[in-house]
Amino acid sequence: MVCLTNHLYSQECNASIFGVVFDLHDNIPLQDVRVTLIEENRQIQTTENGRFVFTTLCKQGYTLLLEHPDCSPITTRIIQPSTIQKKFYLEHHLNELEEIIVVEQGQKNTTITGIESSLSKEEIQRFQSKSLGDALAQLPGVSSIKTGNAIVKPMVHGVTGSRLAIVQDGIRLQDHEWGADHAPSIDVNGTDQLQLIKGATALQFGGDALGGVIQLIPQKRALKDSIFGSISSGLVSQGKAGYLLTDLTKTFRNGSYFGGNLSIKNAGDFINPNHVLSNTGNREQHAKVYFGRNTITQEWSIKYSYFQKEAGILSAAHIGTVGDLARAIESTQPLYENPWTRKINNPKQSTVHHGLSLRYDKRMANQAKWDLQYSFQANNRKEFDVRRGDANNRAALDIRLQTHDILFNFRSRQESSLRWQSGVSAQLQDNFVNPNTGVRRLIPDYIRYKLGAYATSEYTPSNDFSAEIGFRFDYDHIDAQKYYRIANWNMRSYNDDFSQTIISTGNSSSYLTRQIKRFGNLSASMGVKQSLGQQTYALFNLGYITRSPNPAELFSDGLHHALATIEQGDLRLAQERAIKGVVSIEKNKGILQYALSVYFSRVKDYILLQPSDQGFDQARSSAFLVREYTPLDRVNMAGVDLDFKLHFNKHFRYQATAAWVKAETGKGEPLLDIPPLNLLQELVFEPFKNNPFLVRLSSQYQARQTQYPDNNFTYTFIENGALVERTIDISSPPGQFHLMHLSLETMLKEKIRISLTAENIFDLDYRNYLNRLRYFAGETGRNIRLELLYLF
Amino acid sequence: MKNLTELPPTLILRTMFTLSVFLLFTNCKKEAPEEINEEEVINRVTLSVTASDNSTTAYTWNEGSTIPTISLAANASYSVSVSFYDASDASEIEDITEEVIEEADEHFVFYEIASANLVIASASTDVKDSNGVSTNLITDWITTDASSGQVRLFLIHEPNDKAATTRGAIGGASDVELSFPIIIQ
Repeated sequence: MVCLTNHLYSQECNASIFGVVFDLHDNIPLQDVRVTLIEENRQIQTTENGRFVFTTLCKQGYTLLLEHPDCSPITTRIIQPSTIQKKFYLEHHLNELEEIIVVEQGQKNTTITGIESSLSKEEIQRFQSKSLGDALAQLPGVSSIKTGNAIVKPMVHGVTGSRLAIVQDGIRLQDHEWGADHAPSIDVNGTDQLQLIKGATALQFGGDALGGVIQLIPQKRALKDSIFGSISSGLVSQGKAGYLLTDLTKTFRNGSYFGGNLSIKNAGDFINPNHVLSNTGNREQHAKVYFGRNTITQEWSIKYSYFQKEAGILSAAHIGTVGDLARAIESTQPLYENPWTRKINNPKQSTVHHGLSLRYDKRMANQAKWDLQYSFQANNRKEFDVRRGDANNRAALDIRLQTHDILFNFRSRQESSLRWQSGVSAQLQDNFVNPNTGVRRLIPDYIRYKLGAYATSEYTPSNDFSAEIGFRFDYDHIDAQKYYRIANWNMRSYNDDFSQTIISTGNSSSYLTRQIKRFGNLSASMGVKQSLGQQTYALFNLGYITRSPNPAELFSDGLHHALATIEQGDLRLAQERAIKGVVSIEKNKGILQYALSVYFSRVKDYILLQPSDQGFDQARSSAFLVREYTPLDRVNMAGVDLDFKLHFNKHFRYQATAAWVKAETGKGEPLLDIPPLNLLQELVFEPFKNNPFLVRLSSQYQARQTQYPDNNFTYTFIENGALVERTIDISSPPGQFHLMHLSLETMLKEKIRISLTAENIFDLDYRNYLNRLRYFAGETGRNIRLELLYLF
Repeated sequence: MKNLTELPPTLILRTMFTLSVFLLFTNCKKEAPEEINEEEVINRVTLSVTASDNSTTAYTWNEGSTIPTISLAANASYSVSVSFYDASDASEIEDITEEVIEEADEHFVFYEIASANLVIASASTDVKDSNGVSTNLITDWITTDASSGQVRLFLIHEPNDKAATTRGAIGGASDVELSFPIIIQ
């Protein structure tokens, strides 16, 4: 080291360097930083306030070295000493920060006493060729309600739609709440963890989710200069399908990051062992870009996502009348079959979802934190029917839903045994229905806004016990403008209660009305968790859930072609109020792991789409079944979920999940579309010590549902010149089924994973009670997938 | 709690302010929605029954009304043509039959007969599709003994097999399914 001692020759060596050193992440002054003035080999330590000063310096350049045991050292050049105080920032050692990130963002629970389970990134990757609903169905207590094979909607504890919250990046998804054929517009690519919180404990995301919350947690980002991502691609025999997914993230040492992902999927017609499921192809394109900066103490980020999907609806399900439905049900074969094609014809569904979110997180001392988030979602859902002439190219349903959300959350410091979290949210929703469809609106135009506030508190006096309590209040305001056919209006005696809502008479047969609905929803939850020793815990939580009727339930008015059904809303609906309790015993470590949970719920004014007293709408050129959203005085639900894992040794592991639920009205009548008993089992065998080769054998069993309502109707056929009246059995569930799947996987050079999977190995022809198109065709047969995943 | 003081209260206020501004801006009423005129609805069907003496009787069903009873003489023959209309707007009744003829390949009319002594067959003047298959828009009805029963009319969109003899086997979706009572005397 060369020390310049030119101050001996200068008369002006009376300058100084004043400095203060801060921690880069939290701006707290750093004490005991060793500061070295290299040119003069002088060393001092910073004071309690992070300050240091070197005096009697000459007017020349100097080099400073700042060192601290917990930080990466920095060297900095001072061009000329001055009287101005300089600020220096030191950064904690990276590995320590990484630990904080892991603690903060790793696979951790959202609630303390809630019953949670999740799928890791690796598990999610096994479902890349499928949908969110298919991936989630691996979790105990989750089933899928399907419309064909591409429209899959998750169901938790027998409920779906508005009773289930799907949360991506902290924002609740808005477009999946209407009807069983409206599946969530979510791409699982880029998701690190899929988390299920059963019951009503996660009040942060809403107080109306009787089933629970499904949360998609994004990738965590390290504070280092790095680039990572993956490319995966697959060939799938069913639908002669292919997919290509990529994701890429670039991170910088200073916490900045950017990245994105892209997914493309393309499938033609699926096939049943005995026939082609004509017009069941689908196309998907999704993309996401994000950038932000995470300095541990604060983080900001901007994300944009795009989701586009086009899915054909089974041609055989395109029926015109109740008579067509009757004939389809009586036929064992689909009444419509074409040669295999990749083309998608009408009827089909096309959805586009844009999402934009801005988020700022601030972490304070003791890990107290707050965050502020704005999000915008735009959804466009189009449904195309088989129509005559030019109308065939025009959507029969074209709904544009836009939602703005603002959320603010505050979390108290984490060291204390009593912690709390609280937040406020505001939401504005604008629904617009394109009037150029030539078909009356299923859902009317409306403006909806919601204001919410919640507070939850956790008390953890020891490692063995914790308790949680929370409250939430939401104000829900719906302002809709809707045309009612006068005949319909009078039949429902709306004039008695709603005559003041009539704005004008539309054409001679309809009223234009303005419907303003206001609801105040109070929700609460409480829970306890007690250690039973040996890594075993008992959890209990109890929730009070209030859900206001959604616009579909209030205002629906339209025809669902696939089921020859007219769905009608009811302006008189009140809020649903429920009490739900869940008890669980869990052991999450060791050779034997399990979670057994039992739940019950009691719902007042449960809103159910059920056959109307009218039975048929005979007024049209063809008869349709009429279904009305009806409040049921009381509904009781109870069920059991089991998750069981056994790690025999390094080479062998076994896993099973099972779920059973019973749901009935106060009068003891079973509800429709309740999942039957199901059991998933998986045996994983890794035969070699140093070779990551893996064999996975899975079994999927679904029992026949024995609890179902009788919605049968009679239809008069004309057969051989005579009238024959028969009961059309739309109620009896199909039989049980048991599918076997086999998968072989290996890793090459720890970077490339290759897998070969055969699903439904024995090419079983079966029908699924939870597929609404089960009357028209069977499920898909054997499916073979070859998949490649390259990680970098 | 100590940590509350660490959170700048102005920030909370600012958040609240932003939220309320956001709501104020948005507390506006939407424009009245445009009324949708339902298109391509078939809400009127007419069977024009012409006897051998060229006298024509029209049997018309309108949405919401009862289906009229067709009255025919025994041992007689008739020419029957069927027409479909969208009569939603009384001042502008649309003839859907024209569209059916334009798209004859994708359409097919099918009759089922119960209990009545009647045979229905495509007429020589019938509209044919591009493959020369009759659409059954114009049919010959030949009655025998006095009887009564039902004639069920289907307008089938995108049939699978026009040569099939039962409604089920023909496939496609029924745009119209109407059961006309019939008396042959």
